[in-house]
Amino acid sequence: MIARVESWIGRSAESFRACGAELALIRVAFGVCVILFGRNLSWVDDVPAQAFHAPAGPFSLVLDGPPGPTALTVLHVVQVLLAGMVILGVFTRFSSIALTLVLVTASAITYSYAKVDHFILFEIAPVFLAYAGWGSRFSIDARRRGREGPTSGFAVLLFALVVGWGMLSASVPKALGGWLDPDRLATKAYVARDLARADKEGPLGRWMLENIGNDGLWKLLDYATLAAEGMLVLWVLVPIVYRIWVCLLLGFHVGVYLSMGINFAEYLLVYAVFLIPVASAAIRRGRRGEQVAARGTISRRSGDPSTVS
Amino acid sequence: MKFVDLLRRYRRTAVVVLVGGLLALQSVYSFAVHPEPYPTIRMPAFGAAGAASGEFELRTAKVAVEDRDGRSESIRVQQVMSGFPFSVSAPTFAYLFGPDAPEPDPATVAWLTKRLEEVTDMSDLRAMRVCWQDQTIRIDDASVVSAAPCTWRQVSL
Repeated sequence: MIARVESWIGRSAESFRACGAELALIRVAFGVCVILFGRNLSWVDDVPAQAFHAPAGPFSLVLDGPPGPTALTVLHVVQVLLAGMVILGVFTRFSSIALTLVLVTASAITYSYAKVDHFILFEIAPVFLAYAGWGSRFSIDARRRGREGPTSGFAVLLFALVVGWGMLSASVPKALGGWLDPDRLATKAYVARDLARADKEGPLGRWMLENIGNDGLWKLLDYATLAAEGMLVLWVLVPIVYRIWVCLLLGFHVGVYLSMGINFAEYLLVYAVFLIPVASAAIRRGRRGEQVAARGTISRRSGDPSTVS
Repeated sequence: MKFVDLLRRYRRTAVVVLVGGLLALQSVYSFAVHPEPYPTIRMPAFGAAGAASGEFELRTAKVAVEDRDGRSESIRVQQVMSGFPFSVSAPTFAYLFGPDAPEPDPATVAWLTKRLEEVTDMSDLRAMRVCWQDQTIRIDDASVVSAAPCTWRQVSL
């Protein structure tokens, strides 16, 4: 029985494996994203210290007040340096793990102002992708080695498990909070709440509330949310379904952005490792198909029937 | 077969079980501790669904700034808190100036005074008054069905 599970995990891991070039693309994109859009904590120095209270956890033991401007500047510089090292693929495993630690620390400082946000999957992605081999190709490390390094599908499978679990953690409280009840609308309620508060609206929030009068459609959105988030973890050992589910999740994120204005751009890089191998395989198949068709066309024109496929 | 040999032979299964177990344990911790701890592997749950009656409860804050000449101007929470990242601005406003928040310290009052002067173009400010109000809205059109009396919070500037 365990042997069968081990074999199943092995096959799933192999299916999740991405090639060095695909991982390198994600590595560079991730590093660029951190440099261009990473947290800048300079605002901490301009707001009242009384507002600062570190969230429960390891940071509450070390942060008894907001860090000073020097510490914040050092943190930002280190973040940019590590992102640069990740882009170039220099000591990739070390720089990736260190980048995760810096991203988590920067978030901990931000979340010390009354609310914990949820970008942890983006912040821990470098650790998993480093072990997946995102430094194996098109990197200074590979150049120093003189050869391409190995890639690991098992690291991607573990990341898939963590991402799926994270999504499940969003779905279960919803299910317990009445989102399953056919008589209680959740998505519509939160769109209405945002409009009532007039803080932040999605580009289509008002239009949706004014034009989607069918509560059945709104309830479908609630169930789609529960399914997209809650079932992803079930498909960790069925990579093809997992990838389809990730596409559903992307649709969910687009819907949440359009209805409530909640940005999800970082999640494109979280999901990239699951989707880019499929996209690049499709592109390669398409190119092979074109080459075969082209050879067939040339053969027909030359009148050689033996090469027509 | 020895346990170590078993682990070596079925190491991927062992790692998956271990990671799954750790994820479960940290979730127990994450949901047991309030407010939410960090870092944990957790995604936003929003909150409870609306009521079956088609209504939803929320709390709003209406901010008014008064100067010593008796003039008053209404502003939004986001205008006061624009120096914070958007996602933490409203929760921080509630933390500092909510109905049950402790008295703001002198540094916070100085920051608030400067901020309100920038936002309102008023000077010689006397106080910021916040009406914290529990409202019930109709989710069909976001209209207010009922509103409880204000719980007032005043900060002298």
